[in-house]
Amino acid sequence: MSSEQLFLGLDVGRTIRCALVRGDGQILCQQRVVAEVSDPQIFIDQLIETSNKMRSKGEVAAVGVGWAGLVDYETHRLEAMPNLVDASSFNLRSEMQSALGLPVIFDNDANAAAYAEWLCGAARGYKDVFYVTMGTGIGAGIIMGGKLQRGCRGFAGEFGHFKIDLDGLECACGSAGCLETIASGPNIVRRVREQLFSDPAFSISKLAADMESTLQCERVVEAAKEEDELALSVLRETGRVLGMALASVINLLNIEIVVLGGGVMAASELLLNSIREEARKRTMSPSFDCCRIVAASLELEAGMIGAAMLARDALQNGCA
Amino acid sequence: MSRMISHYRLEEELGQGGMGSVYKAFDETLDRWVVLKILAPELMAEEFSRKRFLREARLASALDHANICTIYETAEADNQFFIAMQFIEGRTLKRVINGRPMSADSLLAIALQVADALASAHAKGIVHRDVKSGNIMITPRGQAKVLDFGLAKLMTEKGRATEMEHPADELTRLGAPMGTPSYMSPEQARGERVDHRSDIYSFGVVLYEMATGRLPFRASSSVDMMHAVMHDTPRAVKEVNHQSPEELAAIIEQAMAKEPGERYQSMQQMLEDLQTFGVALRLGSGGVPDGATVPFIAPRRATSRKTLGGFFNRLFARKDDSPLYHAQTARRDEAQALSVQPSKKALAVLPFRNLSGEAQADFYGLSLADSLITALGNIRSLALTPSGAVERFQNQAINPASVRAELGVDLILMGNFLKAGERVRVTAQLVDARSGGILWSEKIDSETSDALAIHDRISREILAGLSQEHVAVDPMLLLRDENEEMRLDAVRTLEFSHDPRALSALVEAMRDTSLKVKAEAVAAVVKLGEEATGPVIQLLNDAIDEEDYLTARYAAKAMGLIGDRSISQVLVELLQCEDDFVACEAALALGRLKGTMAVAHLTRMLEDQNGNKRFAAAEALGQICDTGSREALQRRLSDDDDGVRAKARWALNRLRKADRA
Ligand SMILES: [Zn+2]
Repeated sequence: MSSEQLFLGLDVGRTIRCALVRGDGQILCQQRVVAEVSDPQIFIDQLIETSNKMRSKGEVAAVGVGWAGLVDYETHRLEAMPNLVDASSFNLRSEMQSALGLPVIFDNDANAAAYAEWLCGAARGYKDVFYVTMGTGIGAGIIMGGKLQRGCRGFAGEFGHFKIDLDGLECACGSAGCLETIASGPNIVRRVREQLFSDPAFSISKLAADMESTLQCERVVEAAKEEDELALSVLRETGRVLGMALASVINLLNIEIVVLGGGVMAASELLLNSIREEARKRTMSPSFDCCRIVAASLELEAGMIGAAMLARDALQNGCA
Repeated sequence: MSRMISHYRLEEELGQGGMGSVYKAFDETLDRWVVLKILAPELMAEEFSRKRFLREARLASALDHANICTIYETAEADNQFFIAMQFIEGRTLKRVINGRPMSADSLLAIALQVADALASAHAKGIVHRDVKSGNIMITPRGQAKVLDFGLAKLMTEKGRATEMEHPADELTRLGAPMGTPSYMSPEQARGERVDHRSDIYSFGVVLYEMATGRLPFRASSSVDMMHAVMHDTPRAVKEVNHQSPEELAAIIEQAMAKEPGERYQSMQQMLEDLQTFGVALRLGSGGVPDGATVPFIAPRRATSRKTLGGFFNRLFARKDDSPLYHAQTARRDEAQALSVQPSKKALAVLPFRNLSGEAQADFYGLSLADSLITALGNIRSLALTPSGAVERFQNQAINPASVRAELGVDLILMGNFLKAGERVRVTAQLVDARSGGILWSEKIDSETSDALAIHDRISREILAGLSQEHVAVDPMLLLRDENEEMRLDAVRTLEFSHDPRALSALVEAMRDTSLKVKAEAVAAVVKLGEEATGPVIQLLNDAIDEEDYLTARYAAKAMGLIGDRSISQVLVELLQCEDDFVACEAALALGRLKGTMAVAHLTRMLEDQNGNKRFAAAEALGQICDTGSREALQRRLSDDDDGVRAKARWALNRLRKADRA
């Protein structure tokens, strides 16, 4: 059994998650460190050190990295993204390959997570899948005809920058009115704070008491579960906006299953209900009737598993 | 060697009083004479009263008006609080009057200046609280200067109302607490909360004093004086001074009405009447021209609804324009108007609004209106709008002006009802369709089975209401119902009312214990626009003093939504408010006003411990979009708060977009 091939899957954003994964997608062990975003060199060292620690536990054949930003599938260039280390001037892939002596592939983190949910999660057995991850940003992975779709250069699936509002807020991408400006984790908290200002009646909310110091999206989700009116009102609206955006995707691509993951989905049932409701209203019913909308099942591990599986398949196809 | 405080050299002590001591002093830095008031240490001992005083004094120092004595500085040195203000050469108005009536010309010259000063302060929400002839300086060139704005609040209960007028040392005395008894408004004498209408009363007393050479009331002690202020009617101006023009006496009388609701509702209104009086005086007729004469000047703000109830209109307006609702002075005109117009009044009875929250009860509102239409149909002086034409107004917010436009009626009977089981409470109002003024209002509790009794009573009341002189209902009364829905409805009704008292009533409604009523009142007040700025700031200041921060927060919100640029300085002061939410609202308002002068303050606020404040500051800076805030916003990108991060990111995106443009 010692000859069984293992893979390293890394999910890289503001934190670096790294797992040792079996060929069937099972995680053997995993680790998590906070990414150093101010200095690219320290960041690269972090990646290599974490990978090295993990590979000592088994025979690793290849490494997959899910990157929280655009990945040019042709040039392997990583586009600079706000909140993330600027690695655009480094060739991260070749640095890692030479330091580890292993084949390394990079892909977008949402693509990796979608791949995992499709191979061994909630979308297993489906052919036309739309996977959405909602956290600090909003990303998506598209699987059509049983194949991950990246577009011509690998930039497909930027669901977070789906335009939903003609006069919407300015977005980090340079445009305005993007889905992310409403429904990402930080923007959910932003809206909670705005609600409190616009309607002082919410001052009695338990959540409002927490807002004097600092507030994270997790707390909003938790408060919604405790039936806090302020949290509920914002999350319900978030669900409606997501449902509206998803309706367009469903109408456009005749999706078989929509899988929703990421930190924001911790409020799973509450959000799902309003997402489904809104999507139903805004799709053509034959399209909606053949489409399921479900929560992801692999949660935070999806990115690592997916990255490892993408490395596995690249190795098999000889493209790693 | 003379004593120094900060950079002021004390030259001469001008007086001592309960508030501290007053000096003539020389400002060594700016080379000018000033009056320095050094405050008694016990007044400043309490943190709360110190804060309250400093806020008030800082607000007052923002007043920039030729007829207001400028406050240069409020500061602390060697554990002493002091106020430095403009040194004014001249005599107090008290000395100018010197116990003799003034000529109408010289009276008017001074009155117009003082009224303008007060109107300008009121527009910024600052109430003087101690307007009296001893607080008005007249320079050798005849310029009037109002002294001691914002200082009356400093007075504590201790020293309250113990001093009587003492003409000899008027200039130097630091003012009796909370107003001086002879000039106190009745509400002030009762120790109630006061608003700008209290200044209007006190100014009325000053005018009385100028016109007659004496004060309206005489008493041997402050207690007696306050009793007289509350209960006695002063001798009529004409009686004391036969030469006093009638128009002037009417202005004084209206200003000195015991009920704030019956006075001028704003100093601006009173100023306009004084101006009109001035024109008449200059025309040389000694009296105001007959109603048929076309006036030579238009009122200063002809389009303003404030002038509607004003003296000008009452005298010059065509009879059918006379405001039905206007309480006192309109009465005469009104009685005339009704008697010379035998024609029918067109009345629309609108479906009563259902406040019960259950749709099944809707029919009741329709049937009530329906049967009233039938009942009132017999009255010959009324032309009723048929019920078919009014149905579409069911359960809608009613704007009398649009009902008038649509149905061409003079009067509207509208109302609402609350049904609980077999009990029903009906509130009905008779509204002047032209002015929106409420002519009559009544609350009737009954059993639903007893519908006939209700119709009967309403019809009877309406008949009585139509035949008698119309004394308008005080809008304030409508806001005192114990039922929240009723109060909400009253706010909505007042929103469209052109009753000059509606503004004060709506501002007062912002104190309501119900958050719904508060929010509705904010919305209504905001619609009134910049006219509401002064009263809202007053409310805000009072609410902070009373530590009613929730009301203060709503008031701050209203200020932000009104969007009056002239109050930016007030908003900057409020950023320091001890209540974080009020500070946040001030920041948001500054953002809406694009107040670039606040960038430095807001940038500092970005580092505050309180997440709400950091968030509000980021929002405001994003709106203002000034490059000076870029670095501080960038630091917020690593804020622990998700919302602050998102807001800072958004603000920076805006800055970037502005750069590109
Ligand atoms: Zn975008």
